[in-house]
Amino acid sequence: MTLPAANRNLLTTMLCCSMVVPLYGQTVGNMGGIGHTNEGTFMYRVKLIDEFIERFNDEQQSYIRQQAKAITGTDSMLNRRRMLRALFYKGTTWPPDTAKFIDAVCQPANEQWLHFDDTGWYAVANCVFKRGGKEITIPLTLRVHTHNDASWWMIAGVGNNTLPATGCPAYVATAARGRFIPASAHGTNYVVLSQLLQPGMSMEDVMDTEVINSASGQLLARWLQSGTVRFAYASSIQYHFFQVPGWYFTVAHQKGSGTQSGWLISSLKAVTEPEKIQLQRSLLPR
Amino acid sequence: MKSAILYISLLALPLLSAAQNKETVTATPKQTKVRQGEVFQFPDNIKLSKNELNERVMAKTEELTRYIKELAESNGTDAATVDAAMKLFNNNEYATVTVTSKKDKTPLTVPVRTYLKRLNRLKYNKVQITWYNAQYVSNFTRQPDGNYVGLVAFEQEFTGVRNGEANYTYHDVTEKHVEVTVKVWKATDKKNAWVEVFLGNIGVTEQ
Repeated sequence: MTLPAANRNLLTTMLCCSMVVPLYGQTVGNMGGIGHTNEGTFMYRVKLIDEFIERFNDEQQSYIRQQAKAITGTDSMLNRRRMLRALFYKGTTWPPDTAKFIDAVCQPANEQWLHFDDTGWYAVANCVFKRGGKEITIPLTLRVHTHNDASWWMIAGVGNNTLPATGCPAYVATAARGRFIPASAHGTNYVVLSQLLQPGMSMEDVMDTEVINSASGQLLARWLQSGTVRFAYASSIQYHFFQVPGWYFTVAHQKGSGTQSGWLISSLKAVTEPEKIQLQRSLLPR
Repeated sequence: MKSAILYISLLALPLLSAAQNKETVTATPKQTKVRQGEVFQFPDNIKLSKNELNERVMAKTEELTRYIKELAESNGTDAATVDAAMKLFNNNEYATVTVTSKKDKTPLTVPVRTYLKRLNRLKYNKVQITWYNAQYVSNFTRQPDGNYVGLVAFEQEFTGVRNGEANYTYHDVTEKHVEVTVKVWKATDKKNAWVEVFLGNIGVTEQ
């Protein structure tokens, strides 16, 4: 049935009114007012990047869907578009591009998904090292490496490095020992690096080949191997996603006790392929 | 005519909303695996549903919480309790706990055993540890050593009361992340195998 233009407009307006929801976590939070308690806040908070990915994909067994069913008896108020909208941090002023991005992700002919073992995303951890009682921050870029159905983190880039080029022995290559940065390491801010980045370490265990062969990677490894520089902690982490064709977005941790906190989209940019390649290269300084 | 169209479209709204909810598209093979793969397949044909894994993880974290409470309330070093708690970590002396305090936001990482031993220094007369809500358990990922790792996140309220010092009370609510390992064990006859869950590094997320 083809409606006259005026009626189509009326119908469209009514449909839009029924489907338009705020670009806030309150979208997901309209479930019995429990967002005002600690229990509700925890439920809404995107606690790990793993949960970000499951919400991005609107997985049917996601934690938030399970909680919605447990509390209200249904999860029918949730759908992928609402999930995606709620992943944008409301503290940022978003351009109209966000709607195009959501359309691109949800387009029926080519719906986009994220997977933990994808190659097109990175974690940039601002790592604090200690040398002689002083703290030095060196950003490390990590990516998930997959082989034989096993996945683990590898250091793919070593950032701006203020360590001196002289004053410590040359790096001594050590054969791989079978150690690795486990796939769960991001959940505890890569604290495992304090055990892995130690004298006697093998770069092959934790670093990509390109990093091993790079000047900055070897410089860091020399100082770590000497024992005079130690990994202390990661002060912050930001994730960078390149998987969605034509788009690049970052995810950062937003503190707070509201219904929108945790790991949320902090920036979004429409990019061409050459721009995407350039951005990826900038994350992998070597 | 206008009224009829308006009436029809009002009736259609719930159906249209439902259609939006379903948003069926052809899933990629990987996505199909994700959506249907709520059963984790381990070596030796051991299968565990995500719910079963969640329950096992929850049982371990609840047991750890009981040990923490017991140690925080004890007056002396309870080596047996510390040893029992370490079994939750597969006696891994490299497992760590990262803590922050209200005074100092710089994270401090110590081995789990050290953390447990120091709990009795707190000298609380009474400790109450409350969990809010259901914990979140991530998917499990196979590792190069054949084990599987995942993460559990939960929110914990800690209240410690010390009598005799103007009733000092420490209270905080923190979100904790625990790395979890699933190991597959084989019997010596290699005919039977079973899965066990162990805790790993523990981190605290500042909110």
